[in-house]
Amino acid sequence: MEQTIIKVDHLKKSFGKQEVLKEVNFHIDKGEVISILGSSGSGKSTLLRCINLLEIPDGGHIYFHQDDVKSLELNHYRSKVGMVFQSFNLFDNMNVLENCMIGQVKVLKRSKEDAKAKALFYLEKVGMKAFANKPSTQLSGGQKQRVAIARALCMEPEVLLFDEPTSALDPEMVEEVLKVIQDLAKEGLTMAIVTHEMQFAKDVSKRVIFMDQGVIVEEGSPQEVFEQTKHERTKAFLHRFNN
Amino acid sequence: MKKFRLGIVSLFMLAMLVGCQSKQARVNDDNTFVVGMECNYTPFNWQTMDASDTAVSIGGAGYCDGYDVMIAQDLADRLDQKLEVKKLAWEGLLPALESGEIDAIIAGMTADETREKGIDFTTPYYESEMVMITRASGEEASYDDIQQFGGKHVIGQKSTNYDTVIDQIENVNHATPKATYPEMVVALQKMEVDGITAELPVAQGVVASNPDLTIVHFAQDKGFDIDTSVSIGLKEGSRGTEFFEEVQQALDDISEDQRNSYMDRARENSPETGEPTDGVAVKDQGFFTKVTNIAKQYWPLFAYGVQITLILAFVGTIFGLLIGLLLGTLRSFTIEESDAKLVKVLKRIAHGFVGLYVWVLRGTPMMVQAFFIYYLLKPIVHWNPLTAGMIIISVNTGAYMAEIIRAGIQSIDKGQTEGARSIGMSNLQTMFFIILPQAIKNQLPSIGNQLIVNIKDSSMLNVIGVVDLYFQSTSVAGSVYQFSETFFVTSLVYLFLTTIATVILNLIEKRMGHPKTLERGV
Repeated sequence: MEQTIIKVDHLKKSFGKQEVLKEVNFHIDKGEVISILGSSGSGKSTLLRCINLLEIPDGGHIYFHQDDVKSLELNHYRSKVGMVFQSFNLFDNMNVLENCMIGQVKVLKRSKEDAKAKALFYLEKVGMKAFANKPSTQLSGGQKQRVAIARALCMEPEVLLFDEPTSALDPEMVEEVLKVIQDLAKEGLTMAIVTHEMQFAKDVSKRVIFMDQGVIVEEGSPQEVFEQTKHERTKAFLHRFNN
Repeated sequence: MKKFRLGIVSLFMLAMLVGCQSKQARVNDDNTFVVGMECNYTPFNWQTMDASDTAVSIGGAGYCDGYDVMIAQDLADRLDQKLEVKKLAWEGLLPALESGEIDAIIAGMTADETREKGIDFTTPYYESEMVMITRASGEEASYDDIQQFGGKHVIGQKSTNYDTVIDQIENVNHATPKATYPEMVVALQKMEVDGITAELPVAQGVVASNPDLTIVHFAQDKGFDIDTSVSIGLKEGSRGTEFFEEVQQALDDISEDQRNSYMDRARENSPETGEPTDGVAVKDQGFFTKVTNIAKQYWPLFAYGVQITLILAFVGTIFGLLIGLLLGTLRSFTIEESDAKLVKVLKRIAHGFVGLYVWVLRGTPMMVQAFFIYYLLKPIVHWNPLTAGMIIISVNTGAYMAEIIRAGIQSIDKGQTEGARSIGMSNLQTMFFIILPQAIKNQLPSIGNQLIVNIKDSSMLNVIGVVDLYFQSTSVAGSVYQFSETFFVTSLVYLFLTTIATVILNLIEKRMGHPKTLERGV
């Protein structure tokens, strides 16, 4: 039996009157790559943000290994669950290297030397080592997102969450980012990815989840979800994307 | 970052040092004879830039010279002490004597019943005659009886006998007194008044520099009924002490001849009788010649004022920024549902405090704040005007900075916070390392603007006696009787300071990079 890192149990979240997540049950096992599909407003981004506790759930539980996250120290927990955003959210007042070092130094209390070595290691992995001393504001979208991935990796999280990592990119930059994520998948990193890239989801995922209107409609291997689709809502969604 | 911190620490130390210096001067050790005078009452005492052999330094504001200074020096020598002269406003002399800030008043002061209650006077050290200064061209020039001034406008110096004696003239128009002779002279020349009451030596000094004025002497029994002798004032209750006796003895030892020779020298050296700098009489000079002469002659006074103005502006801006950073940050921590109850309460209190602070300090004039804070706390902290001024301008600037910082924090994209939180940084770490650096950078133009504002607004602190550029200008204007010309110089100096500040700020902004618009993928 594989080790479960994150377990989401009857998760509920509303924004005002709008119920965005209705009793979602979900888990992420060690070494798994999960793609979460769905149209906008289906609650998939909110699900990720709840897992990272950027949004505070209204009901249900989230477990990290065996522990309810409510009992954990918030910042320590967050450092174990990395997040990559649609809009990168690199720190505009820092260069590439500093972006990758600040969390290590301030949160993990690593020495500057160790942090720098680690940062350069992961920057090389995403192909951005040459840009280490560049201000983050001077990068292209694709470069920014690769740095953002390196920044998350530097914290050496147990699971990495991607919230539409390529949606804000120009088409010619999508590939470079997906390539990085694919490489990470091959290395066995545990990841959950909200994406609209169907082919990528098919190639990289071990498991695919389809969400609609705040619930998980369909879940299974890529083959099961894409080729042996069971639910009408999933079929309609995939149909729209195939055209 | 370290350099920045170091700079702040040294600035703070400087502020402490300035504060301490004045404190030390209060404690008069046995070797210093501290004397208070106006330095604005020729020929008894006046302010000058020239270090003659009789003048005594009054710090950065130049020298004080005159009959009183020579008497004081003579006394100090006989007492075997070092002389220190303090320039004080007339109204400030008695409080200074009471608080022990000065040992004696030697300021052309006449002993009278009222003053005897708060001061112990020695025997007189000069006796003179009470006269009237009038326009040379007027009919008053030929008067010899004070009653002839009935119906005329007569003025005297505020809070002195020369003001109260005016009422001895029947039906006189007793004009509102003014604080200094230069002001009254201008009033006489502008026909606002017809006569100024004065002691003979003062009148001689005024007339020497103003040929359009003359002195009216009064016939026997037709003059003012007034004691025109001047005495040295010592602290109430000191009569009979060793110190009082020593001073009295030293005074008695100065011969009549010696005193007269001091007065002759004082008259010769007084600034009004000195030769015009370029040999042209003042009345024949054009506007810009006068301006140039004022600048040339009095630049050290202006320079001292500039120094104080810059200290106030920089201290006010830097400490104001620190206060603003603290308050603006406190105000920006939003109250979140997930906060513990205590945290919520603390945040509400902080928000309330910051709101109140900004409301009051932005909503009242700094001049009023200065009065209020300075005099309210004076009995408790015994601060000098400059220290008080630095604190007041910092506190005031802090209110504006708090709003600037708050707006700066609000302008930062929410993604920056989320990015920091997602890697486990705490609220404080996020604020300190991510949000504030960007907020400050974006608000640099507004922060710099406060420096420019402070260079100008520090002039308001003259109400509590801070000797800044504006205050020094009023002193210069008072000495030369040329108001427009002096303030023309003042305007140019202010403009120069603000221009330099603008250039420097532009350079800093350029170096730190322009505030950028948020570039985000679509």
